[in-house]
This record gives sequence, structure tokens and C-alpha cells, in this order.
Amino acid sequence: MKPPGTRLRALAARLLPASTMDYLVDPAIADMQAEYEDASRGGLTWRKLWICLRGYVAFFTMIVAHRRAVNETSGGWAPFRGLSLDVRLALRLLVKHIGLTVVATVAMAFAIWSGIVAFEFYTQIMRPALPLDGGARIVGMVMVDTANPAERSPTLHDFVTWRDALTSVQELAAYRERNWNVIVGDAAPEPVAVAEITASTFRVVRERPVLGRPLVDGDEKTGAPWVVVIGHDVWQSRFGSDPHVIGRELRLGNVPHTIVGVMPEGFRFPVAHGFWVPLRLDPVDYPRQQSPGLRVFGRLAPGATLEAAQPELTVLGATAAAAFPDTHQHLEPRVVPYIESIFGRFSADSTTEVFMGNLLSVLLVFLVCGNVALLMFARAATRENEILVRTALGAGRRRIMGQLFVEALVLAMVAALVAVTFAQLAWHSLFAMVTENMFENRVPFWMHSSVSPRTLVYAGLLTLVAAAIAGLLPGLKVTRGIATGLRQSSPGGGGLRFGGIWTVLIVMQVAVMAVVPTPVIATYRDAGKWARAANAGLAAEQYLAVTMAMDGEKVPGEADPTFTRRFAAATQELERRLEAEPGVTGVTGATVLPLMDHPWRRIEVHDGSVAQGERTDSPRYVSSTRVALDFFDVLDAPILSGRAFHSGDLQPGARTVIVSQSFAQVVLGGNNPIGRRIRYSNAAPQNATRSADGSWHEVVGVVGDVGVVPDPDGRDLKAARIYHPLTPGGSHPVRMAVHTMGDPLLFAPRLRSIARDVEPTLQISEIARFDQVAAAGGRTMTLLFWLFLALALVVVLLSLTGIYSVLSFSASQRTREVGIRVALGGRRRHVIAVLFRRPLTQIGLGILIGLLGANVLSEGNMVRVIALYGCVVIAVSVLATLGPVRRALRIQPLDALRAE
Amino acid sequence: VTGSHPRVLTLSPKELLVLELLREQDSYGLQLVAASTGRLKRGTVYVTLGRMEEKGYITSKLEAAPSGVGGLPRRIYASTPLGRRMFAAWTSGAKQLVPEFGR
Repeated sequence: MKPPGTRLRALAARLLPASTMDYLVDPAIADMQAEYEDASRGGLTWRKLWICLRGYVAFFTMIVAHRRAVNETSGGWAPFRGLSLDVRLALRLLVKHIGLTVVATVAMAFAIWSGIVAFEFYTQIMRPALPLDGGARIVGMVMVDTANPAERSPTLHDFVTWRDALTSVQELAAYRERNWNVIVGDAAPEPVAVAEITASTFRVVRERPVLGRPLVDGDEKTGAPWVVVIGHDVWQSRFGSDPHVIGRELRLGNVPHTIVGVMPEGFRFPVAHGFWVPLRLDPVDYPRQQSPGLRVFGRLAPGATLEAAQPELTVLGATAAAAFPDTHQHLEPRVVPYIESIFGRFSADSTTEVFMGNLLSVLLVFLVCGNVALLMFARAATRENEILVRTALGAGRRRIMGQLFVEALVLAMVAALVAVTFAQLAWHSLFAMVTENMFENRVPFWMHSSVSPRTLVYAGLLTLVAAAIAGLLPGLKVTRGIATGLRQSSPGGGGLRFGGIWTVLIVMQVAVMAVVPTPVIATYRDAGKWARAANAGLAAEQYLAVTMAMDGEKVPGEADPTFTRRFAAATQELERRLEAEPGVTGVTGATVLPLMDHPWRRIEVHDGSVAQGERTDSPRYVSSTRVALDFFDVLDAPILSGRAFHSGDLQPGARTVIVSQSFAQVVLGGNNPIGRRIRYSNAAPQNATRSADGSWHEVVGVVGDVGVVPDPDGRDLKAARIYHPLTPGGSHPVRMAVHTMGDPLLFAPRLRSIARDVEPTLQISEIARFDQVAAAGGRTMTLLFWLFLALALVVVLLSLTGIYSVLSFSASQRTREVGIRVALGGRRRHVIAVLFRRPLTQIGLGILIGLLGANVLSEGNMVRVIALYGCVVIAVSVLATLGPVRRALRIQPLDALRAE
Repeated sequence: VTGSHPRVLTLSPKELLVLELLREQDSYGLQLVAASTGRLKRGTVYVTLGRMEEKGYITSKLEAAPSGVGGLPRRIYASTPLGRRMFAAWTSGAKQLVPEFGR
């Protein structure tokens, strides 16, 4: 056995110069070994352990002591010579000027935090990486339609051709997504996304199950038993992590499947899946024109690249175009990175937007640090004499600037620490919000809700930039002409002055302070609207919102009469059964329920003769939805004029609509809408629904606003809504509103149970109370409000501190002048006026520019609020001047003259 | 200790203590730590000893480890004539300045 300390000696040989081994390391280790040997003779195990532990601690203390001794002797490595002194001085200054420290830290932390969040967003959304073994070599194949530039899915026939022919991409795999109800034992059915996938997938991703086996080629054969591989989450949540889960059964739709494998934690390939079943498609069963679409992917062969694979695929594409011109004439296959094959390439606009977001966050760092530089400069100015003395004692310009940089760096590092901590917290919320909106809570497996190491490095860079701006700018200014200062300086009247750039900065800063509350108030109003909308026109807490769909082959947008009939029958039966339940007072359906995001459509109003007060400015976008005939009855929405829908409105060619009260107010200027005709313009309706064919619709009724906040000014087009009649089964999926007595959420399990009895393939999802729907909608707005509020607070805090510093600085620079003026009998009022004319002019100019900007930004909607805020800013500025004014007037003439 | 700067003859409190302890007998580093009753530390004593050796206040030699034990040879320290003179000069100077020192 080796004597203790052998490893330490080897470590020391790497950490310390060879010359130290003889006189430093070896004696220490030899003494420790001797002590250990003594303890061994006594057979005291605990004492031996204690000796080793003490020896290790002493060893590291020795290394530190040695380094310190070397530094004291040689002065340290040239670039860092005196660094520890600077750091200590910086820390002392941070404590001494605690006000500046707090303000600057908060401001810089916010700026760095914004940078971190923007960069993390950029890397995860725009530059994602697959967390799989060799993930960068997994590629996807897409079809580009050259006649109508758009990406299309390759078909089963394409996949088979490519799998047999491609050499640069090995192990080609494919999948398609199915939405089926999963039923485990007696549990209620729940719709899930299932990946119908080729067995080769598991070879492409190089992941093994933690239990059982992956899918194998034999599972794809027709007639083979139905098997499923489940994800780790599914195994935990639905099977209680049962170690004997292999061989158990679950039902997907109506088909029982045997579980053959459990994948490891975090594995959710291809996107966010937890169920994998074999893809059993034979090209023989499908004519080419009806070949089902698939997502195709594979792993690049060793040595192959994307660029090398493309020509091979292009040749195959050209061959297919020649052989099957009716389907492939305009199709070009492309090989692209895997994630791009799923979500498509980000458009130039999106890339620019994300890039601009990052640029803005960097600009914010510059802006904030410019402000902090102003504060640092004001502080440096109060230390003018100290800097002059240091220069006189031989400190060069570089040395003094180095010191100021270190001061700013220490400040920035504290800020960065705060920023990173908050970024970790905030990224979770932002991540949840973004994924909820973008992916409907199905987060792709390559995205993660923690800040990546790459972003931390970026935060480090931002910190350096922040320190450079906040430290070097004042440093340059302070040390400029320092020799002249040495000759001329005298206490109480330094040579430093705010120059033109600083003046512009102060004016802009105050202007920004005046502008910044405008978006805060606007978002606050919007967030408040969401909250109020929940109670506008309906008792939201009494309604349950449910989304219904059905397993089937139906492709969205394709007419399929059989499926539609089945779906209509199932929903009608469910509605009947629900209405028979005690405690349920009504059930109705719609494509979109109140409080949800409605599709926006551009409309035209017929008749030529525009009535007085009608809006003629274009375009007019209003929201629209299709509702069941009893929709307004169940929601207790009063028909204000005209009539409600009846069965005649479902007849082909009926084309009747009911409009909301706000529609009449906002679009028609309060004129009677009954009998008026409207139609949708062709210009790209958002989420276009079925009747976007340009035909005219007659308004037959006006209903009270439901779930929107009425706008008394009649300007808010968001409140204007058009209702079309909805035929049973006419929308898949469809939303159902269930009116209950008591808490509707308590009825949810019963609803699932009834739905299962009515039709096992009926998928019930997105169950929520109406007010929860509103809360979800308002969440984004609320988050935005808090972000703006934080920004506003930082800006206001910085600006007020800046104003205070500038005024204090002005006062301190003119001490002598004030004393002489007072000595000569100058009136206080005049002295104050002379002293603060310039800074107060700057502040006044800033406020004026800011308020004008705020008025433009709010489109004149917030004149009263802005005027009030302007008064507040002026009052705060005056308050900020009080301290410096009192100090300046307290100067005795004799003190001022003695200072000469 | 490395470094090219010439040193003036200085004596830190710790160095004084080492010289005082070495007056009695030659010692290993850890013996000095034990004898100092907590005033010298394990982690810094070898740095101090190395610096004193460089200044010429003490000298050291290696002693082979006992047979059968696979450890490194131990280094034992002794004061030099210069070290003894420095110690005498400091204590006499201190006695003159502060008479209570010698009691």
C-alpha cells in the first residue's frame, strides 16, 4: 500500500513549480507520513483518518500561502498586478456608496437578465440541438412543391423508394402521428398523440428501452400481434412504475395493444410522444395518388454530409417526376436537418424578429450601462482629488482606468449573479408560456426549461461589456487632461464638467423615463380587460368548456360524409345524455367558445349608403365563430333585437348571421344592423372558417356581448363579433359548453364516463371552467405587464438617481462660486437659479420630449394620465434637487474662500 | 522562495518565533507547530521555513525515513549563526525599548 500523501505529491507536482518540491512539498508530506506511521503503530484508525484529513487541508492552505508569498515578492503577473488591491477598493466603494450600488446592480441585472432570456430563446428556438447520440447527423426529408412554393410530406411510396435506393442516408425511418384515446384498465379514456413508426427508428436514434424491447421489423408485418412501446412518463403515471409492465395491455382507440418496452426518461422522439406503435403500411394497398403522407428521417452514413446526400436525393426526385408526372412533376425532395423537417425552416421574418429581440436586449445593456456610467462618472468626480493624488504619486492613466474598470466589473458581476438567478426562475415561466402557446403544451423533446451553459457564457460576455461601458467611459473622461488638472486643481472646484454627450444622455434618459409608463398602462388595461371579460355577459364560473374530437381517418379540411355523420351522431347523443343528468342545466356547442381566441376576419358591409357614424376606414377585422342553435339560450345571452337562430338557418343557402351588440356599435356606429348584409373579404382571413367564399350574409339578430368587455368609446374592434349557425357534426373538433349548478369541474369525471359509454373513440380534452380559459388568455398579457413594469421601475430608478447625481455634481462643482456669490450678498433665489439653471433645463427638455412621445405612442388615448405623470416626474425632480440645494446654500463664504 | 528582488534583512513575528523554538533543539516542521502552541500553522509553517532558509536564518538537512517504512526522507531544521545573531539583536533591541520584554 502506498504511504499517505503520494497522490498529494503528484498533484503538487502539477500545481507548483518543480523547485518548490524540495523545500516545501516534500518536508510537509514527510512529516505527515511520519505522524501517520506513529498513529499506525498505535492502531488508531480514527486518528489516522484525522491526520490525513488535516494533512489535505494544510496542503491546500500551503499552496495558497505559497502563491501569496510569490506574489508579494514579484508583484504578481503583470496584467493582474495590484488587482487584489483594486478589488478590495471596489468592494469598499460598493459598501460606501450603497445607494449607487443598489441602483446600478438592479439596473444592470435587469439588462443582463433580458440579454440572457433573449439569447436562450434564440438558441432553443432558432439553433436547437438534438439531445441524442450523434443527433446532429439525424436528418429529415421533405418535399418542396415548386409550382406552389410550400413544403409537403413525402408519401409512403416515396419512403419505400428512398429506403431502397439511398446510400448516403442509412437506416431510413418514417412515422405518422395519430390521435387516439388511450384506455388503461378501467380508467377514463384520454386522447393522446401516438407515433405510428417504423422499427428502424430505434436504430436511427440509438436509444435502448429501459425495460423490454424496442419495436422490431417483425412487428410491422400484417397479422403480427399489436404491440406498443411506452415512454417513461406514461410508465410512471399510468402504470405506477410497475417493473412487470411488459406484457400488460392497454387500448388505443378500440384496439388492445401489448406493452413490449419502456423507453428511458426524457425520450420523447419524434417530437413529444409517449406511445410508439408499428407503422403497418404496405404500398401495394394504396394507389400512388392516395399514398398516405409520412414524416421521413434517417441517419447520415459515416462520412456523408447533407450536401453530399442532396444530389442523390435530387436524382431520385427527378426519376419520380419523370415516371409519375401527375403526382411528382413539381415535387423536389430535400434533405434538411431533422428539426427543420418537423417545424420547417424559420422564415426570414421570424429570424429577423428573433435577431432584433437579441439586438434590443444588447442595446438595453448599452443604454442601462450608459446610465450607470453617468452615475459612476458623478462618483468619480467626487473622487477627483484622490485620482489627482494617485497620478501625482506615479499612477499612470492605464492604472487609474484599470481601477475604475475593476470597480465596474465587481458591480457588473454582482448584477450578473442576480440576473442569472432570476433568469433561471424566469425562463421556467417564459418557457411554460411559449410552449403553451406554440406547442399546446406538447413541448418538443429537444427543448428544456433551464438556462444552457452556452447562455451562461453569453451572460459572462455581457457582464464584461457592461463593465467596459460603465467603467471605461467615465475612466476616459476623468483621466483626460489629468496633468492640467494636477496643475490647476483646488478643493471645491474641480476641473470636471459634463460635456455635450452627457447632456444628450441626461435629456434622453429623462425622456425615456417619461415615455416608459405608457406601454405599462396599456398592457395593464389589456390584462384588466381579460380579467373583466370573464364576467362580461355570462356567469363564467358556472360553465365547463370541453373540446371533443373522434378517432378516425379524417384529415382536417377533407370532406368525409361518413365520419361527419358518425361524429354528429356521437356528439348529439352525448349532448342528450348530458342534458338528462341532474345538475346540468344546458349543453351547447361552438367552434370557439367565449373567452377563447377567436379567428379574425376582414369584412365588408353591403348597401353603399353608409349611415351616420359608421366606420368607413378599412380594413375592418372582426372576430367570428359558428355556434349551435341553442347557444345563446344556454349562455343566457339576450337577443336584443331581431331573432335567434332556428333550424331554417341551417338550410343550404340560408346565410344568416347574428351580430354582437358591440358589432352594431363599433362597425355600424350604433345603427340598426337587422337586414344589413356583410361578407368576408378575400384578403387572407386568419384561421379562415368554412364560409370564406365571399358570399353575402344577412344579419337577422343582435345579441348582447358575451365574454368581451364592451368598449364605451366604440373603437375596439376586438369586441365586434359575428355568429354563424353550426350544423351538428359541422366542425371537427368542436367545443362544448356545459352549464351546471355548482362547480362545473366536479362534473368533469362524470362527463368523461358518459362520453366513454356513448362512444369509446370520442376524445375529450381541454376541460376547463370558462373563467380558467380567460385566465389562460390573460396570462401572456399579465406576464408582459410585469415585464414592462420591471423595465419601467428600472428606468425610473436609474433616471431619478441620475437626476440626483447630476444636480449634486453641479452643486459640488460650483461650491466656490456659491460661496462668493453669498459673500457678495447674492440672494438665495438667484444663487439657486444660477446653480440649477442648466440641469433643470435639461430635465425639463427631457420631460417635454418624453411626454410628447408618450402622447404619440398612446395615440392620444391617455392625455390625462400622461399629464398627471408629467406632474409627478417634475415633482420628483424638484424633490431630487432639494438635497443638493440645501447643501450648496449651507456653504459659508469663508469656507469657500479658504478653499482657494 | 523564487524572485529576483534583493531582500533586506527583516524578521517577522513568525520567523522570530521559529528562531526562538530552534534555540532549544533542531526540529521538524510539525514539531515546531506542536511546540508553538497554536501560533504556527501546519499550512503555512513550511512556507515560513522556506523563506527563512532563503534569508539564511536557518538551515536544513534530510533524514532518511526509518527502515521498513516507505515514506519520504524528513527535513530537520536548525538555526544558523546569522539567525541566532538576528534573534539576539531583536530581543536585546526589544529589551531596551520595552524593559518588560526581558522579564
